[in-house]
Amino acid sequence: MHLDLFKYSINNLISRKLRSWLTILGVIIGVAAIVSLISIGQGLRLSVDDQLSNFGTNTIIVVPGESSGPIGPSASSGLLVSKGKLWVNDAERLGSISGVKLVSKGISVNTATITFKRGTFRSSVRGADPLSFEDAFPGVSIAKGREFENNDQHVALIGHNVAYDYFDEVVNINSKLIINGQTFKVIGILDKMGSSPMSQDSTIMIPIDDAKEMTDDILLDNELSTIIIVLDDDQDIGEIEELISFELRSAHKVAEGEEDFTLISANFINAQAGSIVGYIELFLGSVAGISLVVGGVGIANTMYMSVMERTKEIGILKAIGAKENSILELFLIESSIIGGIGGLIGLIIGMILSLILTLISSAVGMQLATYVSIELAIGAVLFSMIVGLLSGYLPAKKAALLNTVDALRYE
Amino acid sequence: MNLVGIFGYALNGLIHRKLRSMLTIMGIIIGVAVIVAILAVADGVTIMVSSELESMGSDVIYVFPSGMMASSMSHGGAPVSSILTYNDLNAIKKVPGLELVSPIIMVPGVNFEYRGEILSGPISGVEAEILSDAFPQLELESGRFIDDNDHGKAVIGYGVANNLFDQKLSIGSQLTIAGKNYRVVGIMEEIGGLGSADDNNIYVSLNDAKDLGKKILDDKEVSIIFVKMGDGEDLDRIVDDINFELRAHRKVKEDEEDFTVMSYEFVKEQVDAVLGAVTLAIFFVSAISLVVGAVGVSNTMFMSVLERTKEIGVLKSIGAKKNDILMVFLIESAMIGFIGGVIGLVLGYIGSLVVGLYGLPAIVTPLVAVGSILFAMFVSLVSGIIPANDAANKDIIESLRS
Repeated sequence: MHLDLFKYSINNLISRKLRSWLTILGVIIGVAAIVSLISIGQGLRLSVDDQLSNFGTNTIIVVPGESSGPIGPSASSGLLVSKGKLWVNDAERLGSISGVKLVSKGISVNTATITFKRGTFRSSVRGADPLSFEDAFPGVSIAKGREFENNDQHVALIGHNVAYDYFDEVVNINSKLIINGQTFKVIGILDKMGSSPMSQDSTIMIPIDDAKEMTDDILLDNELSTIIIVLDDDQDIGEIEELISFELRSAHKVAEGEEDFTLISANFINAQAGSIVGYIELFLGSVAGISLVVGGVGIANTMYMSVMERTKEIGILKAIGAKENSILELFLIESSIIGGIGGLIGLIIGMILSLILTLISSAVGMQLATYVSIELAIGAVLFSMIVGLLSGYLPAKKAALLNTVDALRYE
Repeated sequence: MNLVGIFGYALNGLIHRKLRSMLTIMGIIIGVAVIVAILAVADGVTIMVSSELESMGSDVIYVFPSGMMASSMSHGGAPVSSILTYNDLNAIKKVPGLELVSPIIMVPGVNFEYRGEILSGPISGVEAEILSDAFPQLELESGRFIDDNDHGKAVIGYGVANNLFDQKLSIGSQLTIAGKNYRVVGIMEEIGGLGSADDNNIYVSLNDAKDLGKKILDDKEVSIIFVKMGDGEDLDRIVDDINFELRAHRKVKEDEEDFTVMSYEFVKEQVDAVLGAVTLAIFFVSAISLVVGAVGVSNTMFMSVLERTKEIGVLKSIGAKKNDILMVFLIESAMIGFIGGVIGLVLGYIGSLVVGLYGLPAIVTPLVAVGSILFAMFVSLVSGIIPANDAANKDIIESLRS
């Protein structure tokens, strides 16, 4: 019986070809819009995940100030007012948490003048603990030279761009940089990392004591700019984040929710970036979803007409014993076929569109990756079938409840 | 048939098929409502931003160091910039028609303390003239401005006085900046809005700022050069001249400038370009539902033509011309667009009011109001062309026989 109903529905759709296609076209446009627009959001999500893989999953960076802005606290540039400070004591306290492998103290010199031969520019310089570099900065490796050693003084590690791009001449190992009037010898050059939130391509690092001396006018004694915490392998990073927050809250005497510090970890960045991408997806998806609703209104319209035209036919079907439920099913199948076919074709067109979007954006030099996940593909088709089914319900109900005698009499 | 007759006939057709017309119109309503509501927000934001920008002053120009900034931000790590000095400031002074050229020295990340509470942020050193007359959006709420000979005196923004610390500051309060005592001599009025970060500014004399930054700033360095042009001068000419003088002095080529000359016009152009692009993109996305609605109009019109084949035959046999028939169906589809457009506009307007309740500025401009109705009519008319043409070209005999 179900197969019969199915065939019957298909026949009806075919016999009113133009109308069926126009109705399906409405659904196609809606689904194609949904698929291609959400694929942009999914592409963004993937590229965020990709970039986060550079940020070690074992690393937590503590910075002063409450979190604000999309990624990390805005105070790190020193150009906005921030509350809260980190102290050497804090670093020592955090070092005693079990599961913490090492704690690296950092002092940023926010304003530094860097001169090499005749070139000068302004940047910030990071003063780092002279400890195992690759542990504290996962994903960063030294291309040339060596990392810091204890008792190093007036030496610098520089990022790839600092060495090769910023000055007219290439900066090499043993080159002399003048930083805020003091001479620093370059001992190491980092590998190129490319664009990533953790990229160190334009970084300049000096031993922490040198940075402290440079900032003693501005920072307080024992004040730190960052604390980098590296965990032992196989630790639950969420749990240790809780412990760190607890320790710092009690050290700073602040209540939960009023933290004057921010923990930055892969989780944190993921949550921040993910929520932005989520908003974009939600907005694009719901605007495109509205067009599918309009397509659904079109389905309802077509189905009402279909019921009206076939009033006599429905009367005959009922007269020869078709039950109300069968009539209902008949029209529901018809409307969900419209939704389903529209969904499938819309999915294909949407995928082609998102491909074209990627090609166009890369042709104009943007990196807009799009990605159609299986969930999105299946979801889009199911969603349009549901829209079809819902739009068909009222007309189908109307058909099922037609009075047999009246229907037979209908001209 | 006269136009009024055709009009009435088309309207009758719509009323006669009430349910179908309503559903078709609903498709247009939704499409228009979405477009109106979204464009209302886009326009609201644009208007808000440009009125904020206007308060920046149209006779004021800021020169910032820049250059490698863009490339370094996208490649991670610290922002990198060039350095401006008093030599650049003197180069700018060569440009005729300037009323004031003045340095601003900003020392970032400085600790400042009030009654045991320590914050950190930028401290700005300025000349007396800047505060007293150049910043158009800045007015003193109480006290006086910084004087060039002041030492250990500070003028603070509204936010510093009222919001940053647990306790409020007033004239005469003692603020400790990097370990040295400063007395608050003036408090600025609130700026708010896009400029609210400036409410947290602390201004000291140029000499005090130089002293604060002596270890981290270059001897002759200035962070920002402030320029105010004379009355009746041409902004574009002055911006061009400043660019020319600075390029010559810094020995950089055009389009390779390592500095930015920022005027009200410059910012407005940039912001307008971005907002315009975003609005356009949003418009296209929201127009998709109207397109789907238009497909519905097409569908309805095809059916309307099909059902009325016999009627068309009769009309033609009593002398209706091809054009008359064409008009009947075009008017019918345009009417669907008009009714849908008007109702959609009303719903979209209500939608924008609702959005407004959540704090987003939303304004339905006359352009959007009229444009959305016209657009809906146009889209419906286009959707009706093929069906109407079908109807007009029907063979009289064939249609009478159907």
